[in-house]
Amino acid sequence: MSIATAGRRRSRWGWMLPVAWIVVTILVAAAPFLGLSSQLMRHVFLALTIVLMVSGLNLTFGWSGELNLGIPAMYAAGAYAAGYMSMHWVNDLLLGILFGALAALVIGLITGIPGLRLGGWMLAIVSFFVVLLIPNIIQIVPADILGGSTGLIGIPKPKLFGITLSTDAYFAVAVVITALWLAIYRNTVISRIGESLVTLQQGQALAPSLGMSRYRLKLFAYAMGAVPAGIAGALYANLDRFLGLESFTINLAVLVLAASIIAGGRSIYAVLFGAALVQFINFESTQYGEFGELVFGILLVLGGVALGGGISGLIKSLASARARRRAPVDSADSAASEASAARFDAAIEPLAGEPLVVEGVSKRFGGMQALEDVTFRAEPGRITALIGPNGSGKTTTLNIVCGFYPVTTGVVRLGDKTVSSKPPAWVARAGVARTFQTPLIADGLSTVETVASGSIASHHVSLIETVLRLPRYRRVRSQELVKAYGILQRLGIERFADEPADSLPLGTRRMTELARAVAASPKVILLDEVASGLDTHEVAGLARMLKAVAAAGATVVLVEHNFALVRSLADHIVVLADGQVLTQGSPAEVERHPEVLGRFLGEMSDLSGTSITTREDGASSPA
Amino acid sequence: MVTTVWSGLAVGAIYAIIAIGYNITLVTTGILNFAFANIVMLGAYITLTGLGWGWNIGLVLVLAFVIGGLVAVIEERVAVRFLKRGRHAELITTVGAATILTGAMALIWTVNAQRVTLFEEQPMDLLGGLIQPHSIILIGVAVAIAILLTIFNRKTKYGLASLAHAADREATMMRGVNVRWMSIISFGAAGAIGGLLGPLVAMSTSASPYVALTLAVKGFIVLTCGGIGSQLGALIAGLGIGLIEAFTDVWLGQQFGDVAVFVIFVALLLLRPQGMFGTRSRRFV
Repeated sequence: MSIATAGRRRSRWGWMLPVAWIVVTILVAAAPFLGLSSQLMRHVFLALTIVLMVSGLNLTFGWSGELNLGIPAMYAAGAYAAGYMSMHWVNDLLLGILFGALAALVIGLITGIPGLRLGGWMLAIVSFFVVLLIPNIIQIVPADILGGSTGLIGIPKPKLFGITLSTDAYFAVAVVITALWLAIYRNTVISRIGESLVTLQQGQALAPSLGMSRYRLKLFAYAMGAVPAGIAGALYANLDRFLGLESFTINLAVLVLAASIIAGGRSIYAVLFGAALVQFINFESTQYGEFGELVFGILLVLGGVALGGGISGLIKSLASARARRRAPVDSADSAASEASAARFDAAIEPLAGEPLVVEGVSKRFGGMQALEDVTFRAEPGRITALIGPNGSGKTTTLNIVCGFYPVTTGVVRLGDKTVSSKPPAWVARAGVARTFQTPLIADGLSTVETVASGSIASHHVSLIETVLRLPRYRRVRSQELVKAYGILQRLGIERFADEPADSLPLGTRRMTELARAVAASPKVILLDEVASGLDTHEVAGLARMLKAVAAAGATVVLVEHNFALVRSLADHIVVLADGQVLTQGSPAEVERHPEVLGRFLGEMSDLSGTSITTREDGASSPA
Repeated sequence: MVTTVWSGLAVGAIYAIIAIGYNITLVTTGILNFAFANIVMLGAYITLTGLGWGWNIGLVLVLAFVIGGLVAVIEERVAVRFLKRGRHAELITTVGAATILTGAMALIWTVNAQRVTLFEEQPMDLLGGLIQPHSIILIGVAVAIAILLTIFNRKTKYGLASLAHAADREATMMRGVNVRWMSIISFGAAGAIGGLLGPLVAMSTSASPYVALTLAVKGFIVLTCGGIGSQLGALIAGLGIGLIEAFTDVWLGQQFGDVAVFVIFVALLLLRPQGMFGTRSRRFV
């Protein structure tokens, strides 16, 4: 199946989604006029605030992997800001929501600061602590401003464009606003932005190596996650027109977390179910004592143990099981496209390679001299290989080139630009793409999306263009996907294009990484043991690809154990031993070097790098 | 002034005890048991009920010890064992376990705070300040277990195995250490210690289901400030944070104590992410 037909299939049903969205929104908004009881209306309203908060948590936790539990604090900020505004400045619902969202954004960024430097539970607990501080802070503020411990009393009835809203009309407005936010949320996460966010979850290396700043992605996630919490707060402030400290407790954080876990961390529509269920349990529990906490606790334990994707993950896996049953059709399709692969063989775009110059680079880790005075030059259009025994400094050299480590002394230049000791994202955007020893592939992306993520940083598309799906977004997106698909075809793995990339076999994941690096249209491409774990058929495909990339003009630098492969591929070989360059030259020269023969070629020549690293891989991660 | 020091140290000792409990499971299994503070509270409630029924205090404390350990082991079996590693799922499941315990305690013993009295006491004068006798015991216990566990980790086979496990799970498994048993034992041991110390802690805080949450968060902050894995760090950070809280309460007012702790905590983290006594591991690709 090609991207073009996939696109057509999507557009054939594409009109259904907005229509369904409009119909559901109108139906729910009109419910009170159709006879919804005021008690039920209140439940739906509270569920809507939970929907908003869960979507915020999903943006930070589900999509970006940052467990920022400070949602109640952002909610409180939105509520108090909107309440204060309508009491003292101007009573307009939309302005109140705007102001509330802004206040929440500020709090979200403040609670996020520790998360910018620390990951994991640090952020979780710091943000938990912020929630515990809400009553303290509100009571520190003089009581005539925020009402202190007695609460904020006297918020006027909400007005919209000067018209005072009845309870029913206010409900309808709240439904529409929530629906609008959900559309924004959906279009944000199902896009290149969502694809960038998920790379955050693969450790510190992946996002910068694709030219994206983790710092900015995290800030974006915190800010974007805070906005709906602020909107929810502003809506809540106008519901009871009273704000008490007891509405903003840690229990709310647990409740929102539970809803997110039930719905799935990356859920979109299932958020509605999660929020409704949680609101139902919460209401029942206030009627019958404290059993709601028991239920939430059980849901958290079960959901956390199963941490797969909640309701939304369940539905997706059911859908993909159904798709697999239809597989014969697809494979016939892919056979046809395999036949056409030859046509694509010529279609690799020219790459503007530049020489990579490593000059006198030394690197020290504490007392350990990892690299000493390493100098070599990798030319565009040629394949340069770094070989050497384990611990000789090959990967360290790559990490220095792409900016993960600063040099101790020496300089790395790309053309006439100095790239050493620059931030990795900067180096990547300057045209250095790489693969990793253990493939780093974000979960939840299909193979073609993973490959396309290689070129996200090279075309900036604004948030507004993305959310509104403006023509520029569509154009960039389809170009990206077509290009990614073409690269997959060249590597002969286009049949995996729509499969989740992180569940592919190791060899295919390596090829996917290579494709992703090529998709970035790099000047220099760095490959860290890209052949290990590949079978002979795949190695042949890889070799063809590398030659094509070099022929297209890029500078290819290869770290490899497999000497046979290096000998057949490389134009220039740099031999490292104990952090120093032992010798360098053409394969023939290097092969004749007595020390190369003696030190490791002799003892290892019967063992190919492939078999060695496969064994290592087998021990550490049964793939 | 001296009285403030004593009350700060007494509160700080409680935080230190919670942080030490976290450390026991963190060092051996790499998992933060957020429900530890709830198990401490459970110990307090068991004591309260047992004493209410007129049981012998020794028997009641043994019961708190055993049930605390048992609950922690059940938690390990249900909420921790089957997690996929490296997804922070344990944060969610142990918060879930904590929520279950809070809910259960609120159902059984109501949400109202209840006084726990292990023995009758009068505030006494110590170096010019007033202090409750149970506070002296609390501080002493915190110091003692911090030192004992530090020695235990460095000198005994089990302690060394757990340190090895924290450093490298696979390598430790290959050395023939049964990491599954270690996980159960460390959860059980932490839970039992928590259950036993529960009544002592509750003499200060009173028994209340929701106190656990505050203690849990404070305990975590102490843990991080002290440096994860360092029992002595937990002790020193706990006492320090107790003092900071007590003095800001006195000088600036009740609402400022927690805010001050938060500010200092964030500042410390930004300057020294590994905490006061922690070591930082660096590994990139």
